[in-house]
Amino acid sequence: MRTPLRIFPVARCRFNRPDNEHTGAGSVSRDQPLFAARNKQGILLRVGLPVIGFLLAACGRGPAVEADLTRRPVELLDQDSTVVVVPDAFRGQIVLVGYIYTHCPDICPMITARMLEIARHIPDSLLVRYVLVSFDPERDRPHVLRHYARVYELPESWRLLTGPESELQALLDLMGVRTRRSWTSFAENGEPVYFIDHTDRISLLDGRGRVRRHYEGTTADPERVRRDVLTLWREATGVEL
Amino acid sequence: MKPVLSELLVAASVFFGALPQERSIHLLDPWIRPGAAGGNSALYVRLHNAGSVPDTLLEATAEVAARVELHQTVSGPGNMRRMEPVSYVVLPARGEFRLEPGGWHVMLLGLKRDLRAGDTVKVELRFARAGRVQLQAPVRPLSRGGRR
Repeated sequence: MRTPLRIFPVARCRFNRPDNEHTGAGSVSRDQPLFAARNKQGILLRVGLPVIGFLLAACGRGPAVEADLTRRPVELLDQDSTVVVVPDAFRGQIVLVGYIYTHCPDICPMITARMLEIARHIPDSLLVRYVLVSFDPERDRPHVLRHYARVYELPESWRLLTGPESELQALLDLMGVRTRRSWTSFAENGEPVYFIDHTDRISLLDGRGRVRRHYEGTTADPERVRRDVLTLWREATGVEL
Repeated sequence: MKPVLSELLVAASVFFGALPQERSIHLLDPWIRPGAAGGNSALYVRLHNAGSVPDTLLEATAEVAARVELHQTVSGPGNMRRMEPVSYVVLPARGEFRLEPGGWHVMLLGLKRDLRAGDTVKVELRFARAGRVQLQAPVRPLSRGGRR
């Protein structure tokens, strides 16, 4: 597995700094309150707060943190049977994660196709990582995932992950992905044929192993995801692209 | 083949019972997802019924799969998706029914070989009135088959 290029954190938006002396609108003290005019305090608050909100947004603060994967790192295997610890292995990189199982003929290929489409919208220079997590470890062993990636002509750089059920479940819980084995029948040779109900989801992680956005997997708007990725990039580097 | 001759042949076939009495089913724009040997795939196609009475898709078969079933993807609360087998698909008279991603589809279970983009797969659909109708479906790359 290639060594991740660490790009986070390089610089912080100045409104994020805790020391108020470096901030502009964020400098609030008892001596010189931002909304100092006593008789116009209400008006200033009503006008000032939205302005501050706008400035903060313009400064590049990304979506709120939905979950922190560093609280429970999980040890998985990729399609080459290489150990991948999530999120440590992707530290310093923006990651897009989809959830699939290889025996899924309809929804999961749609999610994967959507990730391919999203990838086409995001500049390669941002070094975004693309990860598919299988929630069917019983059938989706690493060699199965490797073959699946070849048949589906997925980029070599994509990581397809599987692993012990307890590890996968811990990750899925943090990601808010629910699964449930559903309709089952039996093939002629007696092998069970089953499908898995699952959440239709793609998740966006920042370079610090935190979930910053979930999208509906099959319909995620590539342009919106691109904007979110650029926001996370700007948030971490201070660089506007 | 000249139109007149063609019509005569069709008429003769119908007369001798070699073809269904009403050739009203048209299978439009069929395609199949890639799939790994041992895994599953799905066939999507527009089922057009030009006839004056409804018809019903009862079953499908394909040499490339151990089993073929009709399925429907259903959405539940919390963006949950699940698949349910269905017994048949009704085509309205002079209407169309679409088997498409995220909805109804013909599922190919237990693929006997890899299906890669560019391959062609033969599938036979059996209708209540129109009888057996064969189609050749190309395997589309994932990049062309994900839209909903």
